[in-house]
Amino acid sequence: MIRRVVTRRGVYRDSITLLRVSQDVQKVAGVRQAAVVMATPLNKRVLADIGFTGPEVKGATTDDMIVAIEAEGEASLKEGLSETEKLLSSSGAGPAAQRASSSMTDALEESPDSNLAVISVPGAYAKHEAMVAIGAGLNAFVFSSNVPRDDERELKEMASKRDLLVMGPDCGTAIINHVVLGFGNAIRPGPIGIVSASGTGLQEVSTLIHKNGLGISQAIGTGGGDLSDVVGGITTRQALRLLQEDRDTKAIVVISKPPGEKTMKSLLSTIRKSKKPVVINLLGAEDAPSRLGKHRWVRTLGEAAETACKIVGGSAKHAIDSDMSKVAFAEASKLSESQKYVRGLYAGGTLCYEAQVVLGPKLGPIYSNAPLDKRYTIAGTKSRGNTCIDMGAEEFVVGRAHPMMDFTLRKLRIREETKDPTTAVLLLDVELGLGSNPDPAGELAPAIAEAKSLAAREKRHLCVVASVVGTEGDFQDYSKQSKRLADEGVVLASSNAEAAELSALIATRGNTVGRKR
Amino acid sequence: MPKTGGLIGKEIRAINVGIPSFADDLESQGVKVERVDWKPPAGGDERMLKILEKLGS
Amino acid sequence: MRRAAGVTGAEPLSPSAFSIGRQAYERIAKTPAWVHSCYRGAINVQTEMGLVCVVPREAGRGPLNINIDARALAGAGNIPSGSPVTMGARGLAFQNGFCVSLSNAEVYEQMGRFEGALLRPGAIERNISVARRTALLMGRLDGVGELLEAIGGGRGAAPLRSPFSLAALPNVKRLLRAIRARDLVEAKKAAKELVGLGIGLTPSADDMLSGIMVSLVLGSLNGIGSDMDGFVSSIGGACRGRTSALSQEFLFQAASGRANEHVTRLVEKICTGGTSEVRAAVLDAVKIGETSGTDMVVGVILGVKAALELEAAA
Repeated sequence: MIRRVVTRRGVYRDSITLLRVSQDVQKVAGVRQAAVVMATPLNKRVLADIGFTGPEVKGATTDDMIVAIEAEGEASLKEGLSETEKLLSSSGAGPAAQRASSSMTDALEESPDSNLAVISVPGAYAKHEAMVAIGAGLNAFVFSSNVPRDDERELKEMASKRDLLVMGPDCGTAIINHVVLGFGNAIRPGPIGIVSASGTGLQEVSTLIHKNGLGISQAIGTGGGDLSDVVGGITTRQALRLLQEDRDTKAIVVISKPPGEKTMKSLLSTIRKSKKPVVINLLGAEDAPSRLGKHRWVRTLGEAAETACKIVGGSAKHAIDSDMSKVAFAEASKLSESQKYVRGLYAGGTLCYEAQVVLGPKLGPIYSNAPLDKRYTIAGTKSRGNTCIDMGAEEFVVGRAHPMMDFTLRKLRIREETKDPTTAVLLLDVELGLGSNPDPAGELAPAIAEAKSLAAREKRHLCVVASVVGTEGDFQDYSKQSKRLADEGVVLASSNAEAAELSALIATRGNTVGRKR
Repeated sequence: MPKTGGLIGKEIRAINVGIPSFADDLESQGVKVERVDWKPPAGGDERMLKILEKLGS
Repeated sequence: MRRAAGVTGAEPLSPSAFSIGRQAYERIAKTPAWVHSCYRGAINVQTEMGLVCVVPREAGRGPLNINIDARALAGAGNIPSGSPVTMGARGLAFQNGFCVSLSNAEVYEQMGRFEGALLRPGAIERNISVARRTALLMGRLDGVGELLEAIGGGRGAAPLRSPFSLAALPNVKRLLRAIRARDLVEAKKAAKELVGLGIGLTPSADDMLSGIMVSLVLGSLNGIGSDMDGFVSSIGGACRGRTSALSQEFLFQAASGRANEHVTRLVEKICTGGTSEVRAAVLDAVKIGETSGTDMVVGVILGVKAALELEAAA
């Protein structure tokens, strides 16, 4: 870890906000921390305690502003410093900062040819902003959540009358014209279009398609509430129509949790009319509907990606191959008597759900704070039996960034689960791409190492299975991330569904066919 | 001013309202972004208060 | 007001201030001045009597604030530190032609007495609880906000992340103990270990201290705890020279019981108002600055609690 500071006095307006300075610098890959503080005696003392020393600190006085940067290596440090200089200098960073408008209306005046509003204000205000945008003829990507369903419907009705798309509310991801909106991964262009009510579901399917050598045309997020009976699937239907008309799209994947009853009927009816083949994954839905013809009904995100690839003529790996089986049995053989259970600690809610879909038939009841089967609801704070926790749920996220960015709670939970002698396997998802932590493996690896040695001291073997949701185009460096995890003994699966299967195999020592234990 | 056609296949020209890093990520992909420095209206919004009440704060 | 300038590089605006704090008014009226610093949310002007801050409406009125329209402030352009500011018939005139007229400004004078009747301690404590939860939900916690969980309330709160909060925590506890015991010597020592600590233009611990001090003084004036103004004023004195000029200004104002109107309203509502008023006040307060608002709310929560304890012990 290398530390350096930059100091400034009486900074000019172009320094934007301190938040922006620290945020921007922290986004540079390999920069762990960038704090903006005044050079007061106490701050200088704390800085010295955490390793920031040197003439710039010593020489700074109480009216000087210090940006303290902690980076992994010289290269990151250099980039972090130059980013800081740019942000603090009176001529740098100018245009963007100076041009910031104070409202959507102003922004529309400044840029009247805009076609997309990206909205991430608190939910109570999102509807208003979106209405202004739609009224002015823009499409909208609404990341904000906690927008009432009735408001969502009103927005979407207004938008669809004008042939405009509302992606959201509660939409974390979309990839439009190969541009990532919100969070997302670098996916090559190709013939598969995706319509998704789930952000991490979209990430999983798109990265799996990429890993199979294929690509996507468009990935349209609809937001988590679109297929509710209140909203009725307005955006989903629009998206399906757009993909029908899109020349580049040859096959379509639809991803969601089960829709409301009414909406399910109309959704299936729309799909049946589709000329292009549709792969349908409604995670947790009961049975496949009849008369799907050329369309395909799949149980998991992994199968959705695989099936779509096969349809357009590619190949795809799915079942656990013999090498993975060997790894699984090797892990299983090291478990102690008391270790029985799978504990899934998930940042992605949909992946948590998918894990339950996979684990349920193999292990029996799966407890969760976001359960597939409501009978097995638990509070998120304590596991019970086989458990999958969605750590992106409300109760964990207050006052913190999302677990894809902030690993604090997950690391604590890893240790807690390890102390429990009945824990056999920890099941994790690791997301890369825009919006995720710059070094997830670097965050997790020490926690995993510590957990494994804690278990070993108590004569247990902690098994950790994970899947990395990402591609080699993501800035975190997919192979470096995978290697770091593998070096700690993490069993890496090629998809979340496979990771769940492996976990079940390991925990049950191979006896997975619904046997009572 | 009505827009013809949608977003698909067209160059994206965005207005970002809210979290600044979304604008940054778009710019890093070469997309033109107009930033709105959004601040909530002063005086405590009725809706916000209702939501907070529901959350039991 | 003339159309958008700054942005296009044309002549700057000439907005009319709608409010000027009493202390700001006294400072500007009597002395020449120059620009201390110029940020996106404020232009700070140094006078011989101390700082004065030109801020947008949303920042709230305050003893040292001159409030103008946000767009006008955004259009003021770059004004170099050290450049002269003159008081003339037109108002506050800056070097680049940006000019703030004061002819329509109302002088903002903070009231010491609360409107409304003082609640019973149990109800005040409930309001403190509401304020705390609202701040945790809506505030920016990367200043000393994470202390909200560490101090009184949360069992099994997550470990503190910031080295600045870690350094602050023991001294915050020390300060609160000293206040409860009316131990001025201890209190000053603890305050000296807090002033200047933390992130932001106004260090987060300073903002928290301001919140504590304002609450103690206003509480004391309104029947919760008594005779705190001398005590607090001495603590304020102990802050001298340990932090930035800007932050020190706010600390001294707070030591006299004066602060941004959103903060003082929060104190008042906690002591006399209903839970939804408390929530609304927190929402306004946390919007001040970046972490400053939340940090001051932390201070108010701790300060009102301390005042209650002083009252109970009396």
